[in-house]
Amino acid sequence: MNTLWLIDDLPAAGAWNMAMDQALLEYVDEAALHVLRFYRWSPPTLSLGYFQKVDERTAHPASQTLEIVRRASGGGAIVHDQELTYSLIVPIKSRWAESNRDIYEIVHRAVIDSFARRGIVARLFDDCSDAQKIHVGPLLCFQRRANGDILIGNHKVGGSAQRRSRNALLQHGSILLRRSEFAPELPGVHELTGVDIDDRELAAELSAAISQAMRLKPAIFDFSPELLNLAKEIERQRFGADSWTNNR
Amino acid sequence: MDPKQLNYAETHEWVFVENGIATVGITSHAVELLTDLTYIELPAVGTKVSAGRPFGEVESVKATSDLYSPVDGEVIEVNTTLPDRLGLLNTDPYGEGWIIKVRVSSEDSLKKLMDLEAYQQQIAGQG
Repeated sequence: MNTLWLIDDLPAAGAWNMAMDQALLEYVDEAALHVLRFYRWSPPTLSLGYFQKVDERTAHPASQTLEIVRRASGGGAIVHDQELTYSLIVPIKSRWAESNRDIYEIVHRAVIDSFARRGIVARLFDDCSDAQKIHVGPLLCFQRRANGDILIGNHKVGGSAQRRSRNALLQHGSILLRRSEFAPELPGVHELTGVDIDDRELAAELSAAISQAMRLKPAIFDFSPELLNLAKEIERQRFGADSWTNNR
Repeated sequence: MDPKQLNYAETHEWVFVENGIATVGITSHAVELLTDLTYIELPAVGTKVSAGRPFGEVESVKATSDLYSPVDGEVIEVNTTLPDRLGLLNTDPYGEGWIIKVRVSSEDSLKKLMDLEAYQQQIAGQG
């Protein structure tokens, strides 16, 4: 049985978080591993979708004071504050990279099952028939709707986006646990249900459920000095650089 | 265009070469992988491209992906209708959905390309 390598990271700045995801994408590219990483953000950060224009952030006054980072994945902007974030990286030759939908569904169904154990009813959105409308939608990802999004009632509390490289597929996404003061229009799980979810517990549950669904054996990932150096270099050259953030 | 007449890169681009000009697009399998396409970023005419290196990017509802050039050369024409008619990549990926035309500068860059049978085997292998 192949292994799903697990990481549960401490809070870090946006540029580092994105650099580590990219480093893992390039690392998996070389080593053909499956890696699942959970992480948090400090300070709270606004991430822009890869194709979003930096000027668009003026449309959202509540997040104006936040630092920004441009993601390598597409979609809308996200206020990373009261959430659990994850990334799942699989080699392109893995059966799980065959379709974009497969790992999307695996992760989101694991989240829904985890919610259900707490008495929370959530569902996957499946009513989007016009993809074009999404690209010209609101600034914030959580105000957009795409098939496969996690909804409680009509409120989106989970979404993901992917980046395909030549030899690996990165999917990362956010689970909105509580309302952020920097995006007050978006209620989290706590506001919608009264349930307070511990992010470390949720990460552990999702690790178990996702490894089971992918039929991979879970194991703790050890960061090598090479990987950390690669992430530092990517942070310096790309995600921490104004030329990257302001390139659109 | 008949898929049997085309050559393929492992990164799911197709290429048709005639009189030193390569027409490049992405395969129906690639379109299927990306799901609902929302945006495409194309190079300018005159851009130099290299085999195996990105020449553009495509975004779908779920995924962002580089477009890789299958050949070395210079972009001489771009399908400028595509950004507003992304559906062509779904309905006619080997015809009206072509992406760029490249004046090939090195025949060597064509040697790594696959025929349809080899490409289909690659896809089957990834499954």
